[in-house]
Formats: sequence, C-alpha cells, structure tokens
Amino acid sequence: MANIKPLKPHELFQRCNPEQFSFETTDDLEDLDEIIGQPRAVEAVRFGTSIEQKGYNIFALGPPGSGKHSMLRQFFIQKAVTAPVPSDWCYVYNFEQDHKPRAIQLPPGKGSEFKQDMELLVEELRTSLSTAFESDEYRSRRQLLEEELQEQQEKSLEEIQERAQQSDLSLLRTPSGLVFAPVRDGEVLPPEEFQKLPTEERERLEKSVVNLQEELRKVLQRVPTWKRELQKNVRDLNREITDIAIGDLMEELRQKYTEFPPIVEHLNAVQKDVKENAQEFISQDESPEEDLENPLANLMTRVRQRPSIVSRYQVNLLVDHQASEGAPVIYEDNPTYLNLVGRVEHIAQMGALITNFMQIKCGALLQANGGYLILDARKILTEPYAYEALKRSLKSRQVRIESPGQMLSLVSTISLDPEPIPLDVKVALLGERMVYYLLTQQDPEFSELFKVQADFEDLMARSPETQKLYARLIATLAHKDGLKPFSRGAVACLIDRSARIVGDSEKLSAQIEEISSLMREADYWAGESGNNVVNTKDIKNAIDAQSYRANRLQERLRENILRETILIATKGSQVGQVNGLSVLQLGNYSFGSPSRITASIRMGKGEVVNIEREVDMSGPIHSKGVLILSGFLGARYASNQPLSLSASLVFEQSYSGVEGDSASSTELYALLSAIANVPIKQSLAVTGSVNQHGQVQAIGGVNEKIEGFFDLCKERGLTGDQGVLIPNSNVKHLMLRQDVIEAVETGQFYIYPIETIDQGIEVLTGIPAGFPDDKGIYPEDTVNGMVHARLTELVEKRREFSKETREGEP
Amino acid sequence: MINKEKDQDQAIQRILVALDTSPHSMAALEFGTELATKLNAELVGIFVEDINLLRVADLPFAQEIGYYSANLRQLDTPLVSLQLRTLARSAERALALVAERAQLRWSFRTVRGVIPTELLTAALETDLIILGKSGWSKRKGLGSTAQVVLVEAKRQALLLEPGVQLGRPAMVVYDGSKLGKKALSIALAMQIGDNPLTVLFLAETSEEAQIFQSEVHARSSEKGVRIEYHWMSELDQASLLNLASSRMCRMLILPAKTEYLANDKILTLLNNTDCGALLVR
Repeated sequence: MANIKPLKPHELFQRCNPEQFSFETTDDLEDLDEIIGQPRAVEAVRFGTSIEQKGYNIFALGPPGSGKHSMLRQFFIQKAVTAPVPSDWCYVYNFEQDHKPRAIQLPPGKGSEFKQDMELLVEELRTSLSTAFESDEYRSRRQLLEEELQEQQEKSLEEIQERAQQSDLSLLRTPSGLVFAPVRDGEVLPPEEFQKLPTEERERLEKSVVNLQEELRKVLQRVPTWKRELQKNVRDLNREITDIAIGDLMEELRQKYTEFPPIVEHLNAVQKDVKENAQEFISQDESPEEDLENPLANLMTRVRQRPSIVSRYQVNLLVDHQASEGAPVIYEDNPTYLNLVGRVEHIAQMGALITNFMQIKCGALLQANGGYLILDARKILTEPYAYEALKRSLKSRQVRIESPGQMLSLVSTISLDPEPIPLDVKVALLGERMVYYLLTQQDPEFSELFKVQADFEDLMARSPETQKLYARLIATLAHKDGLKPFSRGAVACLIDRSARIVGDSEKLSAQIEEISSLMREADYWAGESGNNVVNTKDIKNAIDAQSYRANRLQERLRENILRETILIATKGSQVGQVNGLSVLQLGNYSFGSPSRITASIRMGKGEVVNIEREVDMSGPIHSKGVLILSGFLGARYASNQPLSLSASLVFEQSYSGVEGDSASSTELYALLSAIANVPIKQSLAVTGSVNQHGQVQAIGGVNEKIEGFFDLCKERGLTGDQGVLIPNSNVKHLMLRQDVIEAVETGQFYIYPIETIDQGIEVLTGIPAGFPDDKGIYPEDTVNGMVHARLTELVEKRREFSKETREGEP
Repeated sequence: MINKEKDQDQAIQRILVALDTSPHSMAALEFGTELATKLNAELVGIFVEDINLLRVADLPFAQEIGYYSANLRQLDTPLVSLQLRTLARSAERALALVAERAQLRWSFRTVRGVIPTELLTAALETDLIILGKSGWSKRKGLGSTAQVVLVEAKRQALLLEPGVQLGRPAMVVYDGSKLGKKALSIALAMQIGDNPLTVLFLAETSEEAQIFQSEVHARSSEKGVRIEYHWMSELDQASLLNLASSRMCRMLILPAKTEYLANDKILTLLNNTDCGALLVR
C-alpha cells in the first residue's frame, strides 16, 4: 500500500490554458482555410481530385461528423472553379426511331440558345405555313385539285345519269348506295304500273338497268383511285408550298449552327418532317369536326391529336450550364436510382400513361457531368438498384436513362430508350469504415471504381500548436453558423471537452460535428443569459444540459443502488467481493456504473467457472479474460503442484450480459481474496484487464468509470477512504470532471494507478502482496503467501480425499 | 314603323329544318338552332321517307350499288324501310340533342312522300324553312330539292352550305321594296357580334340610293349594327358575288321574286357561289 501513491489532482485533467491564446474572442481570429488533423485524408483527397484516370473515384471513410463532406466539397469547389464549364446536353426527337430520342452535346450556354431558336422556329413556321396555306395561290390550287376529282366523279355520274334518262331510268341515292329506277314524269314507276308495261318494255328497262349498273360499278370502283391520286397531288402541293414557306427559315438556322453537325442533321430532319406533315402542323389549332352524339369519341380524338407535330420540334434541355462558372459540384442527398440516373416521366391521359422525349428528366450524374458528385455511401446502398446503376455508369462512362423496370427487363411496355450520354465525373462516396471494408471485401468491382481511400482520423494530437489551430477551427465554425463570439476561456473549455470526448488528455476529437453542436447549444445558453459573448459557463451549461437530457437511465440505475435494490457496498470489507466498474453506452451518451463481482472457491480440478459464460451471458472477450485468470493462478501458484480448486466468478445482479475484459483484474482480486480468505475494501472500485503475468492493462471509458463510482460515493457521502484503482497506462486518458478533481484535492477520493495485480491487491486489502523467496515460497503474512497456503491445503485435502476414495474401492 | 319592323322580326316563330343526316342538313340544323335561339322561335324538324326509294325497292330487279364498295346488293322494301327509319331516328336524336342543349321548343316528325312536295307542304305551317343547298352530293350548286323549294316555297327559305354560321359577315340586298325592307329587318335581327352587315342597294339613281341609305341607317342605328353600304344600279351577278367574297360574306339575304331578283336569277346566282342564301318572301 505504501508503495502505491494516489494520483495528484493535476494528473487527473490536462487543462487547456486560456492564457496561451492571444485573442480575446473568436471574432479576433481569421477563418481556418486548411483542414486540421487530417493529413492522410487531405493527401488522399488531393490525389484523388487531381488524378484524371479511370476508376480513381474517392471513398472518404470515417465516423460521421468528421468533416468528410466539408473537406471534399471544399477541395472539389477549389478545383471546379478553375475547371472548364462542361457541355450542355439536350434531347431532341428522333424522326427515324421515335422511341430513341437523340442526345446532342453543345458548348455551355448554347443549349439554351438552341432551345429558344427552336421555339422561335416553331412560331415562325406556324406563321409562315399559315400564310402559305391561306394564300390565294394555295387555296385555288388545292380547290382546283379537289374540284377536278369532284368533277371527274360528277361527270361520270352525270353521264350515267344521262344514259339512264335516255332509257327512262333515273339514278337515286339510297341511304347506303345508288339504285336505278324506271321513272315517269319525274316519279318512280310504282311496281303495279311497271307490271302493266308490255313485256318487251319491261325487258328493255331491266336490261338497261343491268348495263347501267355495270357502268356505275366501274365508275365507283375507280373513285378510291381518284381519291388516292388527289391525296398524292395535295401532298405534293403541300410539300412544294411548305418548301417555299420554310426554306429560308431553316437555311438561316442551319447557317447559324453550321459548326454543329448533329444540329444541322436534326434541322434537316425537322424540315423533312414539316414538309411531310405541314397540313397537320397548321391545323393544330383548328377544331376537328365533332360528333354531336358521341362526346367520348370527340375527347378521344382530341387526346389522340394532343402529342402534336409541333411538340416534336421542341428541345428538352437536360443540362444547362448557361449560368455556370467552372465545373459543377453536386451533392445528392437522396440518391435514389431515379434521382441519380434520371427518369422518363409519364403523363396520365384517359387512363393510359404516355410519354415523350420532353419527359426525360436529368439525374445527379448528368448534373455533375464534367465535375464532381458527392454521395452518402450508406444511402446509395440502401436505395434499390442505385449502387448498381452508379457502378454501371462509372464503368461504362455513360449515363443510360432507363427505369428500374426496364433495367431488370420487368417491364415490356413501350417506353423511351434515350441515347446514352457520355459521362466524365469524379464521384466521392462518404461512409463509415465498416461500409468501406465490407464493399472492398464483398464487391470486386468496388475497388476498381473507387481506388482512392481517404481515411479520416477520429482524433488528432493535442499540442500547443494544434490547440491554436483548434481555436481557429472553433472561430470558423462560429462564423459559419452565425454564432456569438466565443471567449478564449470558452475556446479552452471546448478544447478540454474535445479531449474528454475522445477520452484522451493527449488527443483532440476530429469529429467536428459534436463540437459544433456543443457550440450551437452554448450559443443558445449564452443568449438565455443575455451574454453577447459565449463564455466558459455557457459551455458548461450546454454540457450539463446535454448530460441531463440523456442521463435518465443513469439516474434510475444509481437510484436503485442507493435504495439497495442493486447491492453495491462503498464501505466496509468483504471476502471474495470487489466493486467492478463498467461503462454503458446509450446512443451517444455513455456513463460508468459499479457492479458487484464475487468469487467463491472449493476443492476441485483447477477450473475457474465463469457463471456468465455458463448461461451464455458472457461475451467472448470477457470469457477470454476469465480464462486468463486460470493461466495466472496456475503459473504463479501451481507450478509445482496441481491446482486443486474450483472457483466460480459472477457479476452479481447482471441481467443483460457482460462483454469486455476490463473486469478481469477485478475478478482476479475477488478470486485471490476468496482463496486467501482476505477481505477486500468495499470503499474502492477497480477497473483494468490483466494478463497471465499479472500485469494490469489499459481499458476504455476510464473517465466514465471513475465518475460513475465517484457519483455513487458522493451521493452516500464521501468517507475519505474511497477511490478507484485504474491501470497505470490509463492515466494519460484522464480528463475527469471538476468535482472529482476537487474531491481528490481535499483528500476525499483517491485514484490509484496500478501496474500489477500485486499492487492492486495491496491497495485493496491493506496487506502486502508478498514476493517469493529463492525457493519460490511466499511469506506467510502476505496475500500471495495466504493464497499459496490455501492452495497447498486444498492440494493436501484433495490428495487425502483421493486416497480415501481409492482405499474404499473394492 | 318601328312596331311594324318588330312584327316583321317576330314573324319567324317556327323554323322548319329539313333533316336527312347529310352534312348539309346537319349544317342546316346547327344554323337553325342558332337562329331559333336568337329569335326565340320553335324548331321543327322533318324527315321525309322518300316514296321513290320505297317504290324502287318493290321492283323485282331493284339492286343497290354500294357507294364505297361498288358491290351489288338486292334491295327490298323492308330493308329500305328499316334504313329510312334508322336515318329518321338519327335525325331526331341530333335535333333533340342540340335543341335541348339550347333550351328550345322543338318538335320532329317523319312523313312519307316525294321529298320536295312534303317539305313545301310542311313549310306552309312554319315561317322559315332551312335546308342544305344540296343533299348527299358534294357537287357545287343547288340540289334538286333545293331548287324546287327555292322556286315554289311560299315562305322564307334558307339554303345553307356547311360552315355558314350566324354572326359571320352577311350581305343583304336592299331595293326599297316591302320584301327588301323585310329582308333588312331579318338581316339586322340575325346579325350578332362585331361583324358589319354589308347592305347592297339596288337603286337606279344615286339619289334613290341616298334615300335607301337613310332608311337603312335609321333602322340599323336602332339595332346597333355596323353597316357597310354598296350600291348597284342593276344587278350584276358577278359583281355581287365578288363583293360578297371581298367582304368575306358567307350569307346572302335576298328578297325573292322582286324586280331585280327573279327565281331564275337567284338560281343562277346560288349555283355559282358557296354562300348560303336566305330568300325572303
């Protein structure tokens, strides 16, 4: 005991001294334009951004809030500013295959101009064609053609009619055809009158009717041919007039876009189409003849006519960089398949879904084409087919806009198959390390496409220099979020808090988001207090408020201990019973709490029974720790004799399983106490793992554990002999609360740095551990001596028991 | 004077529309509906089952040649009767639809006989008969039925081309006669919208034309109708039609059987134009 000195207060907390800062508030500091604490990631991102080779996309891996997004965005924007503005892309109608819209690439800003030109062209076409088709020349020529047919028909019919009249017959129209009838005085001869005619006359009339019918049939059979000829002539006339009407317009536009062969090609196709459909083109606005009795048919007619000819000449400007400066930097926060690749939307008409090339919508890949795209890995992996689509696009270096149904060949209805657009984009995926390693392991294509890993640190070294940079980072965050200025004391407090977050007095947290949140909350509390500057007290208020919001369960647990529902002793002594310490993590909040660990022994074959393990409540690391205890006991006390005991270890009142080896030293103390029958001080709590040589090793959550036991002791009233044994290697991690430090200062609480089990057992029992002499014998009045003696006694007893058993056998 | 004109306006209280479901007759129905609405008149539809067709059907050698198929089909009375009844029902449905939509009083009847005769007989019970210039034929000019009605009708007769609508530019011929004045009254009553009414004076002298202009002005200003005046000393058909064409007129309102406009002249005139014509009697 005398050899182990408790830690001094200054060893419990490495305070950031505000006096080292020369500023008064963060308003005096310039914004930080560099990334701090991430040299590896910075280098990786710089490399990934600069290299132009295929597959050198970036995966930024690290915990959330470590500044991955900000850093990548910053790098990309820096690079994008000087990069050329990428091309505009538009889709136009494909006159040869209407389900395969054509993609046209244009210099930035030219797409918008082309779109406007085509809109103007349509207007001018409408005017020119209307004028042309309403001209007297066209009307008279067309009328001439129609009347030619009409006259041809009428003439043929009149000739037949005349011949019929010569034979005392007349041609009458029935509801569905024509019929010859004998007439007298302009009226059809009634049948009875016809029968009264002489036979010769009747025969003559009938014969004439037969002859005329045959002639009439020949005429009527030629009518469709005449009509076809008329239609052809009208079409030729339309083409001729259209050519004259639009020729200049089209030529002017062709000249303007002569440098862009795809546009010239498209304009040629437009001209050809207008010529073919000129009549339809100008009759768009005219109401078709409607059937009064069938409004549904009228509606259907209108619907069928809706995808007008004119709409085919529109331009769907998918990517417009008219107002862009530099390359695009896009972050898609909802990377669904459709948002990523783009979509072909449909319009519901009369219960049917229809679409056209104007319904093609751009996705994030095309928006970022020629620039940079940032995506969250977890989001893209959870969106159906999005990850596959991203890989396919990157691999083929083109974007093919198709629905997931088409992609999986599930949908066979007619839709659009837009021409793929070449893709040149640098993609950065942001995600946790686990996601990166899983993708690397499980997806062979991933490593081909994301060759640059930018691994973000969780923490950074703490030094006077980094603390100053951290202060500037805090100033930058405050400026960015529009917060009140932070006093240098508040900045120092935030730096201390950052070290506490990572649980290491020599490190600072690189997870900026947590510090950023704390700053925003401190700003709130400063506002509540009417302060214009955020000071230390506001930071503490924010931390306390954060803790209070999250510590309901912690308080319930402590209450149960105080009410002795959960049995934890903080005074007195007890054989085979030690206060262990564990950390509970609930969301983002973690806290420490003591647990009672007990041990019992009996004669046996040398095994240590882990009761948690027997009931499957022990995690593998905990089980390993317990097995190490057997190794330690055997090596130290049973090198020359069998280990003739069985021991049971248990976490009392544990209902949810135990994991980790931080209690292994505690368990060993309980075991030694039980073997030696030496009481352990219950005013002390223990944490630390142990190896087979009895060395106490570092554990995690040391601050929370100490504070957990301290809070309990404080609630019950500090007695002046309470404390915690921690591994010596954890001293550098100490960033304890102020009230704990004050209790240590006043000698009401102790923290012992322990290196070996012997040191620990001395502190816990007040009895020297004892060292073996030359023959390996421990002094009797030491813990080791008592343990050895008890084990020897058990060996003897077991030997006697075995002898009695053998003698009793027949 | 004004009361008299009102009487003349109100003289058209029943309008007879000859229906055979041809495009011309449907145009007549459409125009008749608009006019009946304007004049608050009753619309009377008539379908004549052509007795000549029924007689043909009874003949032993009667065979119909399909207008489009050019196929020969045996014709018999039941078949023709059925066809005519079907057409009559279609005509009635069309009339009912438009008349009810316009909230007009209407009636419909089917008669059997010689078409012009039956139409002229039915026209006697009404104030105006409307029919297409030609029936199913697409030939320009007047059909046989229209010609008979034009010559023999005792009432006003309106002969229509498809596409002629109320309110579009129209031209009335005014000769100062009683019928001319009646024609002007009807024209003023029919003219709606912003289109001007073109009035062609048939006057021997310019002084007479001036007098006509004063008369027309007095009547038109009361109705608020814009008038464009033109004068001819004698009726020249070509000039009249050119004037109508230049003023975009699709409707001619003509006093029938006057000094200037005998039936034969009207026949010639209407055979050479695609305008509709209202013959005022």
